[in-house]
Amino acid sequence: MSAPLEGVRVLDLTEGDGAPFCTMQLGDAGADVVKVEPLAGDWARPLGPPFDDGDGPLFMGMNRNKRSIALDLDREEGRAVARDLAASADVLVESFPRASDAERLGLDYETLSAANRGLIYCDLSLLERSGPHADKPATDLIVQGLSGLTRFVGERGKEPLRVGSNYAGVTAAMYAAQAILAALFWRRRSGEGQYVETSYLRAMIATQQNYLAAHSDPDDFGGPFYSAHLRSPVRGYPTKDRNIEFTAAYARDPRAFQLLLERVGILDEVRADPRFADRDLVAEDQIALQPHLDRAFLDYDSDEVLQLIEDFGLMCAPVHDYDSMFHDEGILEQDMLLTVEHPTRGEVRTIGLPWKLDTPGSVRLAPPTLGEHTDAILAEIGYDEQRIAALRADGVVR
Amino acid sequence: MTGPLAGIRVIDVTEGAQGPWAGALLADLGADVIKVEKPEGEMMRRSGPLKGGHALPNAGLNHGKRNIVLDLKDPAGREILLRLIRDADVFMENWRRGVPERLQVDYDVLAEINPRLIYASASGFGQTGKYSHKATVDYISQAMGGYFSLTGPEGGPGERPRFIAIDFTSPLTFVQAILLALLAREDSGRGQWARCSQTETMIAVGAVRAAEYFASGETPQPWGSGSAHVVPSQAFLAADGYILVECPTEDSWRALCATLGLPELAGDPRFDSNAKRVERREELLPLLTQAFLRYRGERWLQRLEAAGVPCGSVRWDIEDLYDEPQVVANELLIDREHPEMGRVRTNAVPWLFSRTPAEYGELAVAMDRDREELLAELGVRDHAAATATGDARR
Repeated sequence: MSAPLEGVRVLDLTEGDGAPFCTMQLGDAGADVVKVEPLAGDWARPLGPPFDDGDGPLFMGMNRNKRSIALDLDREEGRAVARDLAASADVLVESFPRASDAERLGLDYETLSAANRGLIYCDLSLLERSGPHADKPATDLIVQGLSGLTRFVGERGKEPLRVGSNYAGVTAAMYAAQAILAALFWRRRSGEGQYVETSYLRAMIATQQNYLAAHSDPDDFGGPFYSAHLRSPVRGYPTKDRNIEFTAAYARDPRAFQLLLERVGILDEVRADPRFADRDLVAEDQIALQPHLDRAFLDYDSDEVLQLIEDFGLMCAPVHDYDSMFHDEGILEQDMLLTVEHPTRGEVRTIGLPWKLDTPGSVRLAPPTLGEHTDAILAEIGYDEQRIAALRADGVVR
Repeated sequence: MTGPLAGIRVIDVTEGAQGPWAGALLADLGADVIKVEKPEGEMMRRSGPLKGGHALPNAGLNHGKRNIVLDLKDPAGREILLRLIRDADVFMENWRRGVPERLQVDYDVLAEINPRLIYASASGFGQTGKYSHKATVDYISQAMGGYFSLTGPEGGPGERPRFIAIDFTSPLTFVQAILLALLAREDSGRGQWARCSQTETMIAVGAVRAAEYFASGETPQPWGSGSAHVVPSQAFLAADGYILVECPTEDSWRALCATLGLPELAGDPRFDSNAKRVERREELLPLLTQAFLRYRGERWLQRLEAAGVPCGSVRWDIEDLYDEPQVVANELLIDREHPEMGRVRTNAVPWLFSRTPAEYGELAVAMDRDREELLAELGVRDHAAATATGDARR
């Protein structure tokens, strides 16, 4: 069966630290994604590590299944090419730095939809397109701070930390891809395109729905979960080889937690603490028991103790780093490690797809080199060889 | 409903966050979402802070849905579910492995009743393989998905982001899978089994760090407030507290040097590319750190913003969002009324559509509220229902 987005053409005007993930997802689902880059390339290309001459992980992690055309949008000749590309696109995604950029470039929805009524135009900004800070320069880190995401990491009163991947950008990109898919579905039924938008900030507010609701004048704060940001860092519990994480909550047998502590031989030690001397242990005690739990599993291999915890009916997992995760058979079984042929690097590794369908997506193309497909893309929209050569000689394309 | 999924009917038997939030998003997109809840109520009915006896997080998590209580272990309850499936477009579940078969509502059974049905399954760790039997919650999935290892003080062991990082991203891939299957059905006329898992999503969320691992072969490390990719990109201590500053481009780097009153740094060949600044961060950062101490954060932010350098402050409390000008101007927080809880604050819809705008549905309704209406729509007489749900109806 063919991929769900086969035949869908996406014009990708995104670059940087999150938005390109959106168009990569569309490419993963079978769309033909044409990435328009400045002549110097997406600004994320040189950001390592490693810092060699090749493209860094921000670019490599978010730009597979795309073809690249390098185009100078600072010149009217370049903008005219972009408009020609938009005329035959089903979807356009942009993440211009400023709200006024689209109109300035003549690449706004009004202009482009006049020539292409079915176009779905997705505006993926960082801080929304209106409001006092709409044009403020921002990045994933800045939105993490503004939206309050940083309060969930590190410790109050110390240096703030960041969530260690571009969480705001990728989440917003996932919402943007959703909006595009829904708009494509509606277009199938109505024949009409439309303008859809989201932002890193909007996505980070949505991500906090539970916390927003929880702070709507509650009668009480219902346990430690909603004050987790006030707690000290959580790292799981050490074993002989690596940390593991488990929860004492949600057990079918309410005594499971206590039985586990008895089995690993620390119940007597816990009982010596007057707080736990003469009552059954409950799930809510897990946080207060941290010092004991930090010693409880030191004589066990992680595999061994995870099995033990599971046998008591408690949820648990290894605390993986990326190296151990990508060597874990249980992860690899989910097809989350794939390879693809890169034009200059040979075979490179890439992550698998986040959904499994009978009309499957695939990884067909490695992240492109800059302008790798310029000629082919221009030929597809009817530019002849002479015209392409002239644009190249004139420095409009690369 | 006016959303892009108007006319699509979704039967949602999920619990927790991964499934219910996905169902709520489909409702925001205009689908008719029917939540089928077990007689004792789903776990989120009792989870988190309460107001007037109702769980606040659940109010938003299950908004926009009609509700019917069915005991699927009872043949009468199952029969009503099968009737619902006949006219449905999507069935969503996130049961533990083996439960659909035990209840005889697995893909094969439902697809026979309705070949156009999208049967959407969300799991912790996949439908097959070593971990597929395992139940999970957010922080267990973060551990499995490597997410503890990316965050924390520089050079430290890593720590978990203490919010539900996977519970609010795994619904996004779940919705994507459903939308992709709906699009595929437009061509094929047939439904399918669409699957996604929390580990798959967690790995997708960390795509950039995975690419770092694949390129270097070394497991990615936490960098405090800083970054593996860009220097400077981190918190700096100003005279009165921390601010965030990032220079992803050479223009923004030169603008930072000028603003800090360190023009000589901009031309210093030791630091004239991001690659060099990352390599020599130990050498560079003390120079910057020293400079930031001179003024209060607000003063730096005004100057840096005017110079085009990405910068901002850290909001330490959720209350800080309530009057944040950019949040207010774009109406990103919505106060909604619940008949018993009163005002509940939630997020604005996560996307805007020019032609098919979302309508805000009701906050999570009482269990079984829509039973009569739904059974009437199905043309089913409710003879079995009273015994099927009994006292559990609330």
